[in-house]
Amino acid sequence: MKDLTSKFTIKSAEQELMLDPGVMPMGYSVGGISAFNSSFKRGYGVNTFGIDERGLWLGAADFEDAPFKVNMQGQMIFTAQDEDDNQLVIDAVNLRIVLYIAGVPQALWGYQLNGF
Amino acid sequence: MADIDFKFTITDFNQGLSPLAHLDSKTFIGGKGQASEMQADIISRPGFLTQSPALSNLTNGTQAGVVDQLIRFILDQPISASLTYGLGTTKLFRITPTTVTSGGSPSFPQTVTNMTEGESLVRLNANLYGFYNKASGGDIFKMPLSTEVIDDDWGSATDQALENAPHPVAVKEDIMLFGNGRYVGAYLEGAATLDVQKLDFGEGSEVVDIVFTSNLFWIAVNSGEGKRGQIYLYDAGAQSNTLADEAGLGDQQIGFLYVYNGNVYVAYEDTSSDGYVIGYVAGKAVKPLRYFSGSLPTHRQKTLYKDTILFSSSGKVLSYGASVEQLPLQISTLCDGGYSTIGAVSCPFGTPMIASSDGSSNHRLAKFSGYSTDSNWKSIFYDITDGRRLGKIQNIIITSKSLGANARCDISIEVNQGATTSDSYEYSGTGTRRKVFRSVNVPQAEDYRVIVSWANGNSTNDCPLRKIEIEGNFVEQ
Repeated sequence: MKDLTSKFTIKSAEQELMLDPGVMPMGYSVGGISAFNSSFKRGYGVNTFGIDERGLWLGAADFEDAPFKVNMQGQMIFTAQDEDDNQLVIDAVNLRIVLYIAGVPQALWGYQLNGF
Repeated sequence: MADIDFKFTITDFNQGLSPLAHLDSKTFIGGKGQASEMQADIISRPGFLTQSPALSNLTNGTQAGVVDQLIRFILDQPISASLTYGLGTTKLFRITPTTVTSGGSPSFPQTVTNMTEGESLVRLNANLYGFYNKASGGDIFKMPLSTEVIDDDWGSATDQALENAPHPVAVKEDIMLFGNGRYVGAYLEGAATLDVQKLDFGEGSEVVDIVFTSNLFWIAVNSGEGKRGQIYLYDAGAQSNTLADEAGLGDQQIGFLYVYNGNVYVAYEDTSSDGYVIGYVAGKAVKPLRYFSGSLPTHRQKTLYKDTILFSSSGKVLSYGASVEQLPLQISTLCDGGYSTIGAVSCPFGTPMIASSDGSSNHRLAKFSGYSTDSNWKSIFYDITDGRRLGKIQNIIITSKSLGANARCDISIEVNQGATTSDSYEYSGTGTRRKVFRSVNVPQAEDYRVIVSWANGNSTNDCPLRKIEIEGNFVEQ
């Protein structure tokens, strides 16, 4: 008697979903560093060191919130971790150092057209 | 009767539809448990073949209650173990595992001013946000979960109106990213900043789905009037203006993305074969896994059920995946979706809910409950020729779970590509586990397939088959 049952084979899900050797997954991350990403971030939360198209920063998950950052225009910004977010900006673009208290410029060393 | 010349053993029904079923409903290609056509349940008890789940309307779940319009989206991640929300064409619905809320304070369902198409809902901490289209353009509403009072035009008041387009949304901590036509919008709750045009994919592009995994947002975009699908990765902080990476599907439009076990699955159109594909992102490529026919499901029509992705296609509910990873991946038509137009497929409380409409005055929100008699399974066709000789099916032997009262299915044999069908053989009887049907009345033939029908089945006690054996002889021409 012939057994004519289908001999068509189907892999198990675990075999079929296995990545081919050498293939790096999209969004692959190793040691906290993402491959093929537009940004480089090392660490998490307030212990993050990051670089992306806005610049380089330390101390926050994102550039905007970081206490230390340098943007692509050559401005170095130190932000105090207080309730006023007081800042010291070393500004190579405008050749000055400015101290901001609660967002308002209060002291300047360098050049300022027409004062504040 | 002469000795048996050939035998088929049909088992492993968990294999689902044949890989070519979307191209040929009478295909010969497939595994021993695969179907050429089906609407049956092979995922609840892998290895067994049984009838589809039935749909039972929720209390107030039709136009006779409060569901007087198509519910287009159901929040798949519930607010609590007994509360979620659904978005219709003009109203926000409050949904429990059994009931669509009617009345209360504020009174549900609540009309969202100027909404004509609900698109999606998302919970971001203490608030529910709803994305919707209007007669022209779109907007976002905000509803504190504590008061359930809707701020209808929160989006346009905070930033600006949305495009009239699909609005998929994904959340990471206090950040939500949403589709807005050619744009992706972002809301950073901590900074209270909403930008509905954060990223621009250009004229003719449309964001069709967004998911979050691997600490990145994954954005599916169709371009060129929906002809070209592309998946982009975007920074989890949603503050960068550049994309991280991308993978292209070529000239195939994307329906939805779905994250499961760290893999990103993609439903997309296979333009070369007039069908559709579920694949997954493997490296920089999208690897097709299983094919289906019908229609392309959207971001509103996907959920997870019994470790498989459930989605809709042309009024049916399909299942893709494997119940356990040691079994093969399968795709199968699990059940009918109710009315012809399915709005939302969701599973917020563990039992799937399907919202559908007949496109006129009948609407329903129903969940799986009991067994359907609108259910059938057809094996692939098998060749039974041997040189000059044709095959004559003699016996059908069925093995099942021990049947409950009134459990029943009917077996028949179709030969010569459907030209002739045998009598129908009733498989039933309380306690039945095996039955042999002799002298099957089909002529000698070139090919055959087995048909199982639960049209006479029972809604309480199902009829789960484990094995179908076919025996026959070769007959000289």
